[in-house]
Amino acid sequence: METKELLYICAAAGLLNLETIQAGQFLISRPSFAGFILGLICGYPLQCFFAGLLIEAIYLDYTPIGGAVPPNGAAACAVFAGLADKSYECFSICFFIALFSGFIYAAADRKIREMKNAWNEFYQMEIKEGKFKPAVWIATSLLADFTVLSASCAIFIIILRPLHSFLYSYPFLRSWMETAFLAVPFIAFSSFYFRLAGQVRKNA
Amino acid sequence: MPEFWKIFFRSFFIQAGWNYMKFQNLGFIFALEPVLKRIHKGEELKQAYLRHIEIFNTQPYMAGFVLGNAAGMEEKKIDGQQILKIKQSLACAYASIGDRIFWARLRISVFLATILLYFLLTVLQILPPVKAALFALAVPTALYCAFSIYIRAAGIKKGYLCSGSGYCGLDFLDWNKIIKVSSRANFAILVVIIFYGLFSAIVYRTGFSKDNDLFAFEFLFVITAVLAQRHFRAQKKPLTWTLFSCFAGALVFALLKRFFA
Repeated sequence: METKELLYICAAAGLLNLETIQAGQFLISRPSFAGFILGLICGYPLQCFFAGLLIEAIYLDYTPIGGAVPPNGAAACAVFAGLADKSYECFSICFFIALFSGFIYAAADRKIREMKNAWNEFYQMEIKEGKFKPAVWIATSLLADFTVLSASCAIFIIILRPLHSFLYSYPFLRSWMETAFLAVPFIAFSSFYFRLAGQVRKNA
Repeated sequence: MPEFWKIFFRSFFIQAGWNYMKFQNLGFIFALEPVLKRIHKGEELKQAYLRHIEIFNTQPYMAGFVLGNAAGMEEKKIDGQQILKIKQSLACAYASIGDRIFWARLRISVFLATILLYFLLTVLQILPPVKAALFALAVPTALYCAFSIYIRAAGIKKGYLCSGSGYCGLDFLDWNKIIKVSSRANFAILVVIIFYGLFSAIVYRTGFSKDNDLFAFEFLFVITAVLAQRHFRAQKKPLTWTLFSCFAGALVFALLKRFFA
């Protein structure tokens, strides 16, 4: 992957991530859509769409209620798009690396939110001094999240590429990943089945 | 309300600056700023800012109901403590409704509709795969957006009209009916997808080995993974537990395959 392509993927993921939490929440950044968009940049939208669908099936188990931070779909899809290629040969390996990257980024996201706790003192201070401008803070927040996610994605892709190559180079490890991958749709959809059946039962 | 459009567009940023201490306080004050600036000047404006920079958290699409209500109460110059009390009680009520409708149901509806549409468009060969994927993604997302944007806009208007009331807008729609209908629709779509998926896996062996013995082994592994998912769910563990156990199971399976090969 060229550096230019990597930069485009990370920047696009950064923008998509803003849509997830900070601005809009139009569901354009849900993993399947984000995967498709990032796949268009790399030239394999369909593969990224399929990966996005499976990532979304797993991540939908985590609901962003209250202070809960679900795994990050934009980061996961960016890592998938950054590691995968046009062939479907390493699909399962890229999928698992991407899936766990989303969980790792959620931890970073929690740290950013903790960091923003300190901003509250500055708001109070600025209000008392008559200098409070919420738009400036909103822009700072958007910029911080965009930068952190884009940089994290670039780091993830660069660091995880050797792991991907290592897993791919050994047929036994590849077979292990492919077998584990086989169960993913079944786990996700059976989980959905019991969850939705429970919802229907409760609301009957 | 003269600032309706300003509040409406700014309400899309309600979650910007989200923090664990006061949640959506920055987004809320940003959306309400045009109204506060029109009504209050000098020290009064500072007090209004300090009032609304306090803790606030609700479901983002439902925030309009609280924003409209707060704007109306500020206009009526209702006592600050009363404003905070009504704001907090409404935020909790709308968070509960919004989480159940949007996060727990409609978000899943969009996902399931995407899969169903993609299957239909590709199996019936109506569109080539890439166009089918784009169509399957865009249509449910657009419908979801239309509804969520409507709720945001209508919420601001409704909240403003009944401002000062602690149950303002809670009867705006039949929320229970929406919850019931979306639960049933989701379940029906899911059953169709599962049937199609199982048919494809068993008859065409999509993703599975074409060798009969290996297929039996693989299918056994998948069934075990589903049982593991049920076991961990019963213990209230997240899906990651199942994924890790699946990794361990797949390692055993891969070793056995190597041994017998």
